[in-house]
Amino acid sequence: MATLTARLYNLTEGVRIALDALRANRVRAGLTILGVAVGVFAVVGISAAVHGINESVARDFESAGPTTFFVSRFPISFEACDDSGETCRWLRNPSITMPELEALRRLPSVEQAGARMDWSVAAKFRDKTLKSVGVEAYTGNWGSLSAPDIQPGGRAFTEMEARSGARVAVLSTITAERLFGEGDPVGREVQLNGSPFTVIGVYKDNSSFLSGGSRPKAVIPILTLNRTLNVRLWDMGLAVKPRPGVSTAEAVDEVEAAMRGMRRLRPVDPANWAILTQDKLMSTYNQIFGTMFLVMIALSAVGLLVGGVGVVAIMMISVTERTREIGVRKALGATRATILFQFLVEAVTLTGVGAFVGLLGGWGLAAIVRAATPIQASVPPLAILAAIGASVVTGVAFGMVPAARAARLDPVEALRFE
Amino acid sequence: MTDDELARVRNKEIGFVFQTFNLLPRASALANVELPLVYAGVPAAERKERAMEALTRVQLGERVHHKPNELSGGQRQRVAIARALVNRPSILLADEPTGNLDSTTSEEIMRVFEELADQGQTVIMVTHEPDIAAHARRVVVLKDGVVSSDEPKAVFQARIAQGGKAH
Repeated sequence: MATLTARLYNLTEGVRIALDALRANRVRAGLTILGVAVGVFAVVGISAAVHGINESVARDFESAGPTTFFVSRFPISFEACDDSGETCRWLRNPSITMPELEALRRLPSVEQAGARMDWSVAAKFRDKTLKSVGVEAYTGNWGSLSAPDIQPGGRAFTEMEARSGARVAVLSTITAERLFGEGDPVGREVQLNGSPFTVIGVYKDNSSFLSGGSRPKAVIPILTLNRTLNVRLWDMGLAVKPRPGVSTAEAVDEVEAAMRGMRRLRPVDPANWAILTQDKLMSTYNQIFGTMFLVMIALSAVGLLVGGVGVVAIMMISVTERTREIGVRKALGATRATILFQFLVEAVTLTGVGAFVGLLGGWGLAAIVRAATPIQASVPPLAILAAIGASVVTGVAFGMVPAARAARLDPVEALRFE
Repeated sequence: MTDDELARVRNKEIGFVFQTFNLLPRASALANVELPLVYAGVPAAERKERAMEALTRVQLGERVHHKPNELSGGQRQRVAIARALVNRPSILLADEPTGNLDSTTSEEIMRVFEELADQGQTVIMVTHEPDIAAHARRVVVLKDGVVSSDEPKAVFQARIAQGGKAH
């Protein structure tokens, strides 16, 4: 009871005194706050960005289905290529062809396989032009492979339309809005690179910014891309969905074997195509963000260390300056524990102000990122807790030495101190 | 005794009054007087009530929200006395309480101590000045750390009046 009352009082008083001390020692306090703020800012800012990216990437995975994997001409690579022919052998990979797709479709472990190729065109409706619209060209089973979110009143193209290379297009909501405003685009005719296409539907693009989710897009049959827009299908990629009950690994094995057979590769030859499973995608992704996470930890550790040293300096000065006050408090009945607690509260207040500044900064950064980029950055509640926790731990750890010195002072000596 | 036991004795049994007042500069008079109660664990409402009561006892009921630097020397020492009193200690120890005050203010402060003594409060005071010592009921004279006389007020006063030295 006695200690609780004293602690509560010490808490409010300690915070007030610490804020006073802060005003009195602007430079030192500024440095301390800056250090802690940088530490907290690093944690909050980066985790807000990662949080935003995570959410949108999770959406990408969701829309594809968990076992679906991708066969593409080129691997995802960060290799630096030169002209020697020794590096980046994959540059010589042949295109994936329609007959190959047909063969894969017939494999027993495969439920469905579809092709996709991305392109970019100019779209025009009456006097409105969009210079760059991302075209995603698919085979007829687009609708069942990636389950697009088609708005009421519209539809995806049919297998028939796909096989005949019909000039039909499904616009993303962004494209529809920019070309038609409030009007209903379904049934209207748009020009894609000068060729007329009938709009048969509008879909909501749920892909992440990594997959160009913020870009205006149009979906057309892949044959139409080839025939009407005269685009050679040099970079066609396949999405393969295994049958229910078949694991991704089994289906991948079967696809690999079939591809080797079709391309007449000897067992010693490396595969001249790339397979990307969601597991692999996920681990690549985790690698990148693992690095970001380490950078974040390092930055915040340095910041908190600088802040911690500042806390020691300020608190040491504070204890020396207030030796007499400590003597008086002890004369009036303060115990070691109350004095210790009082100075720890002051130290934590210092770091707490830093944490507050850092949180505001991180939050501001998240807001800027949200406004300026398609990343839906938001500060996760856990990061706020971590930031507050880190600042409290820093305050207590670095404030302990000065606080213990204050608590150990002999009251008679302290009262005599000039 | 352990450190905490000593702290308890300082808190409950002894009230200290210093020559240089030793008030906390950033705290109001009321907050200064409340401090021993804080360390005693008295709840906020009762704390305030008892602190006000102590301040009224030293005739400082009105200036309770002023900071020490807004008070005169005499007023500061009254705050210090109220602070020493607030936990109803057995003994009030005063170390040259008038050493930093002019003679008029010193007289005022001594009247406060006299009133307290009349109400039954034990006051032990250290001073160099015979006319301040003359307020005490019993005067013990220390010379170079050794007791040189120990007499009731009347005897001491008579000796001073005859021009005798205090020690």
